[in-house]
Amino acid sequence: MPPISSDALVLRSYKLGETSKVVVLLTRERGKVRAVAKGARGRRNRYHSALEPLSEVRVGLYGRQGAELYRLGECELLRSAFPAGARGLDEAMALSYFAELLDAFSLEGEAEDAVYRLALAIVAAVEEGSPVTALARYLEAWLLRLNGLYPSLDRCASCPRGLPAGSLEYHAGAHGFVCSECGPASGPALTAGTGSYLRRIFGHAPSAVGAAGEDESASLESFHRDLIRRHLERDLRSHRVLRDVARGVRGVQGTPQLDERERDSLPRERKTLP
Amino acid sequence: MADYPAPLARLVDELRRLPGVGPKSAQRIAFHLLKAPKEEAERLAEAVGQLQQALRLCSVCNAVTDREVCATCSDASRVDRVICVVEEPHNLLAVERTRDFKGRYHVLHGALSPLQGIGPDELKVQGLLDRVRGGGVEEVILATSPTVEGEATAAYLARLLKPLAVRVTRIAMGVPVGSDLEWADEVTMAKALEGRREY
Repeated sequence: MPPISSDALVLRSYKLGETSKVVVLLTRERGKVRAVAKGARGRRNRYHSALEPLSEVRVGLYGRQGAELYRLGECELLRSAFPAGARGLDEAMALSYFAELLDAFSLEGEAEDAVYRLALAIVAAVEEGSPVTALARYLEAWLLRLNGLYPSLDRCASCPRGLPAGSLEYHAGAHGFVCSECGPASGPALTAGTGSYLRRIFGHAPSAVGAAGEDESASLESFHRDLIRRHLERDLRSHRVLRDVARGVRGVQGTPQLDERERDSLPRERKTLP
Repeated sequence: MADYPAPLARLVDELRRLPGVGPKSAQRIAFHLLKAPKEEAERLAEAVGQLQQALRLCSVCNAVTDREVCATCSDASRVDRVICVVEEPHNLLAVERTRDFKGRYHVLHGALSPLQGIGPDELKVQGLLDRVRGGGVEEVILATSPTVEGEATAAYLARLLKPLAVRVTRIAMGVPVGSDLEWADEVTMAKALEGRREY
């Protein structure tokens, strides 16, 4: 049977047996698929760095159409996200978050060209050095919108009226922003600045949006996280890891060196086998 | 396993859980043990039982050992001022095989992996910071894997260690010795060029 050939983005991989991996791919033609990459963890790994998260690859998949698990044959690396991820901690963590977000929002076997193009644009923007926090908000907003989950920024979710200029009042019961006549809204409220930043997101390429102000970025992050949680009915794993990493970095940078007595009072780590 | 007597079926089931052991191999091992002298089977059972009881993590570097402080950490001939950080205990053996490194080790027991939900709290990071803060350490070599996760872990540790006034270095990435440049992938080749040195 001839292989199915497609361009794809590597979303993640996990161990299979001693030397192989299962790779989750976002393919252009067939949406999300899973494939076994035999020998990908072995000494003679023929896939080299092509299976790192968010690498763009051209793959040959073997197996009958609609199979749950394909066999990965050829895997030509078109563009690696590794150099972008190796640029620093923020970039490396952001790439993992983007991969998990894309994985969570993609359906197996359903091609979505807009999502694929969005993912490519985001990876390209990371490579160009765009701020990863802004790219995270961009990817979240667009994934939510492409899935029909982002509330309209122009029309009230409860009545046919347009939304007034100024802050955006979200009402959970209406699943959208509401006008003053349909309020009071349950919240959160997004400031006018956040609203105009969102319009920039929906009107420009990721590399052209630029960074939001600290407050706008924080409120948007929290708003998006709520929408994502409600849609997926769970939290993304990387949310907690990103939070813990940020806390760890802040903790060390803000803490003076400990003296002997303080060190002794630190909680001891587990000394048994994990 | 319905056709086998219960003790044999149980052994085959347990063996199948081991990495790299499929149903056929599990059956082969089980029948081998059945035919083997009783002492051989008992030796194996005792060795497996001892594994969890006798082994623990070194209180200094977190390597797997049968004592409070492992042989590497108690070796007085090794240099205290350099610590090599690795992800897993078996990575330590890979560095040891070079016979070039005479410093100390620190095992993290994993790498940061947002996709798998592995954060700093799941790694043995605090002990490393304590050792550096304790003084006498001049260099920390970050020998995590050349993957996105390994790079993220190295970058995280570098952020934590640099304020402690210690030299932080990362192992080089490049073309394996004995291989052909023709088969090196572009990312590896780019890293090899980036890490080139003056002759």
